[in-house]
Amino acid sequence: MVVSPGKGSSFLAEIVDQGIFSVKESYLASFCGEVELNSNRFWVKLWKASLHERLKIFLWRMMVGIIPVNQVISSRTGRGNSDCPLCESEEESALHRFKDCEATKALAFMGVWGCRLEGWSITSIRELISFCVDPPGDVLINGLEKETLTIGLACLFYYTWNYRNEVVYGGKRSLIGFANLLSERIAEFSSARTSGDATIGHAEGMKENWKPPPKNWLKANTDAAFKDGNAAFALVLRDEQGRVLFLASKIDRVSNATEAEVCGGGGGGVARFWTLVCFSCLLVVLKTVYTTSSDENDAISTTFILTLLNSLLKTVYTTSSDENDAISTTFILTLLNSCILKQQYLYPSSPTPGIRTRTPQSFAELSELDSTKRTHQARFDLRKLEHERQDDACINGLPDDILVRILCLRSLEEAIRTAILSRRWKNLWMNVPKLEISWRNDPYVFRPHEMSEVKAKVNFVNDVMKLHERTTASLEELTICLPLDSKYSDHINKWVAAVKRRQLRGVIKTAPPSSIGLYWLKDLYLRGVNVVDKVIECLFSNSPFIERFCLHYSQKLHKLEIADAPNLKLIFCDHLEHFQISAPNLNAIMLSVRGCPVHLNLYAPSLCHAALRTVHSLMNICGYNMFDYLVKMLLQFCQVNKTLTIGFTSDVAITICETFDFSHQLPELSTVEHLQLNSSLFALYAPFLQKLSIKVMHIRDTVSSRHMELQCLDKDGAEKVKALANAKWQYYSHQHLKEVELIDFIGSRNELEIVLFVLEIAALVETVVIRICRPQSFWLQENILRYKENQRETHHTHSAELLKTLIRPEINVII
Amino acid sequence: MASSTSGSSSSSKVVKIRSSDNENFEVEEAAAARSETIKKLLEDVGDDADVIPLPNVDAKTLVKVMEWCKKHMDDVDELNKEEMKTWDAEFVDMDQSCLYNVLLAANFLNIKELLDQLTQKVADMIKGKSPEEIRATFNIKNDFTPEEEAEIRKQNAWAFE
Repeated sequence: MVVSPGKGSSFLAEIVDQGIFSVKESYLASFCGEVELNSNRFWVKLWKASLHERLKIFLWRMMVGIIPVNQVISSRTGRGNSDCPLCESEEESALHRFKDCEATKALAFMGVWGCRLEGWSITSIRELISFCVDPPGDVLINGLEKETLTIGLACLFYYTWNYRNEVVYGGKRSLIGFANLLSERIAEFSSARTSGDATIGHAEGMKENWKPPPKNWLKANTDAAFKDGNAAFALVLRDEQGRVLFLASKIDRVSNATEAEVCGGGGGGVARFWTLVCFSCLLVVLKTVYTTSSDENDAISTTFILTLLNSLLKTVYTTSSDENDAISTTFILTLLNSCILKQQYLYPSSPTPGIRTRTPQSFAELSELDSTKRTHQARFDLRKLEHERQDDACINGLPDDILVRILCLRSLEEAIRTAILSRRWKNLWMNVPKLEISWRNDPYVFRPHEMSEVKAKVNFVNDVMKLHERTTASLEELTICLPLDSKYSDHINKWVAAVKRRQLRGVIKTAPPSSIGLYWLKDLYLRGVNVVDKVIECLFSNSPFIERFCLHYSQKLHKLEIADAPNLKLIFCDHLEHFQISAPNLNAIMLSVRGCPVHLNLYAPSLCHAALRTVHSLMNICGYNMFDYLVKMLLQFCQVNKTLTIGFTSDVAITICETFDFSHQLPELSTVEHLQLNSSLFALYAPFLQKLSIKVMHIRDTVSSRHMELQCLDKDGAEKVKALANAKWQYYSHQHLKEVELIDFIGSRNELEIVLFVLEIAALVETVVIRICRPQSFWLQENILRYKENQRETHHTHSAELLKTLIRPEINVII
Repeated sequence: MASSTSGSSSSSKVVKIRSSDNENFEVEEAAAARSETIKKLLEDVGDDADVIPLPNVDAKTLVKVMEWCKKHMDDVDELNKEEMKTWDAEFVDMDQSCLYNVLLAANFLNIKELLDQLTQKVADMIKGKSPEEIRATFNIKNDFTPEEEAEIRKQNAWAFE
């Protein structure tokens, strides 16, 4: 017995501690000369560690110092270079290889948790391995598990060694690629550890960590191995309990390993083999079905099998000629799955030429093929396959927000109708952010016999409101458009209150609103409502929070007086004869004038935008002096801060032009910044004007004679303007005018003249924007017409280009 | 594999993206940036971007999406609008499972215009159909009991007329 001197007593004591002392023990112990005495515990820890056997063996090899690093080789053979092949600066000892080398550090850092090996005070391989197997508590930060660290480090060592060998024997390899591989492998080994034990017991000889599929599913594992031009393919089908349902294997000649992999079930490659397997299997199934068809409880109907057979035959035809088959192996496997699932008692027994089928007992034999550890899995739900053979996706699989988006694009009725589709859809429509309850007939014509329907809708709105109260559904806008009368005022109040509570933008269009107190109303839109002025007055005094007010086509209302509307921001009215308003916060006003001119009395200190339009030319008939009228109107709009739009129809404009009175003093528009005109007839004094938009009236009618006539008139007008402006505008230089915009430019003469004139008097114009008139009235007609229009357009463009040449070069012209 | 770049567009920058089934694609940056998600990722990682992984989109769907992005890479002028319209109409004309996959991808990649087109397409499929027809079109299984169905019908009677 050879015992190293100086070690004897404690060595013996260690062994005696365990109570099993024999000559054999001490003899064996003495052979591990370098191993320290209390090493037993260390080994126990190593072998008990929850690691894959391969990694354990590798750690053991590291520990006993038999990893053939260069230093070991050169010290044993006395030849060769002992330098590290990766960094070429230091001797490649085991510790250098697995800890100190830059490449190892890089791999460790790029790995899953980015550890820094140099941070640990480890001076020997033994310390390194005990660190790996039994990591001290202080390195386990961030909730890192002991086992995770162990697996990670073991993988790191193992794949560092792999990497080193690949570099030495296979040439340059990418370190990043290897780091990715390492991460993948760590994940693989970790999942093998956590999931393995539960299933392994079922099938003996199954060393792989195999996860069972969910209930009612089958899992097909396929693999291929390659050696000397021969390839073996194999397929195993198992159910959720791990029972092997079907096995098949085949030996074939292929040229290389990749091809073998592809044949063996890799993504949609050659499917012939599997087709044959399926085919033979299916034949067996069919046979069984026919023999057992007397059984009433048989799940598989003959038609189902025939359908499957049909599609399978099709598959064989499509795949047999073309390598790039559209139907992948997995699809065939699904078919196979579904055949077998229903016939679990069935194992294929009739061998078809070229295919050997095996019974589950020979599984161990088959598992030897598992050399590449590549597992392709095809899982399909059979029930789904039966219901929808072509589509495995269903609209129900889409997330709610997309479905709601889709519903938004349909009317509310259609959206609500989807509630009946299935439970999934029942409440989906409630999430549509805009609810619009509309009236299918003209909402402004009330028919007594529709009362019940109105009532139904009102009840519906109440229900919706209640539902929205309870759910957190996000209603953003509620529009109710119903012919309601005073009977429903309570309901309307409730809705408005609900709308207010949820900070929504509510639009309530009713006809007629009568004298109801809508205290919280924010937005009032009256269209075709036959209200009388008293009602509006009452409404405004009852609803101090109205922000927007629109009044359209109210036949009876001629006089509107709004005494106090502190929050009103926007008002849109037309067809008024008398209009008086006091609204300190009024921001925008739009007035349309019909027939007789409006007597306007306005108090709106923060008015920013104002628009004034005439609708038709009855004014001529009234014999009113248009110019006087205009002046009066403009005086009212002197307070406008930013945008002033004045739009008159052409004949009104001409009338104004004709009655132009030079002796009048034009009102000062000292605050207007942006002036939009749709007639070429105005010469207004607006010293701080920054932008001028001119929309020259032209006739889009095809009657060319009329067009000519008007152009002449316009030209006339332009000259008058010029004359007037020369008289007046010369006193004021337009210092602030920076942008001139021409809308619907057609290149007529007066347009050119106006622009040139404006540019002449406004020295600081920086930009001229010319928006060329794009004729739209003919788009939908025959090709010939459209072509003509296009020609006109090019003509317009041409005129615009011409104009550009006439304008001072320093002005930026945008066409 | 249908790599989306080829030949002529050598001058423009190319980004690499990877589908869920680990296929790599090279796409012009302008096309990929149609997706707000990718655009944001690109801004975050800067020029030294490696492959951008898109774990929610498989290769087949990604090919489809990128086909659209490439077509819509530049802003269309007036003349091409009609042509583009017909192209879009053909593009959204795909089988349902494909449609949903692309829809999900557009949602994930945050391509608003594509999302709008696809939702419009599905909305058009719903248009004017009775609930039974919608169920048949979309393969939706009616899991209501007859009583429940009648109840819902009653609640919203006016919508079912």
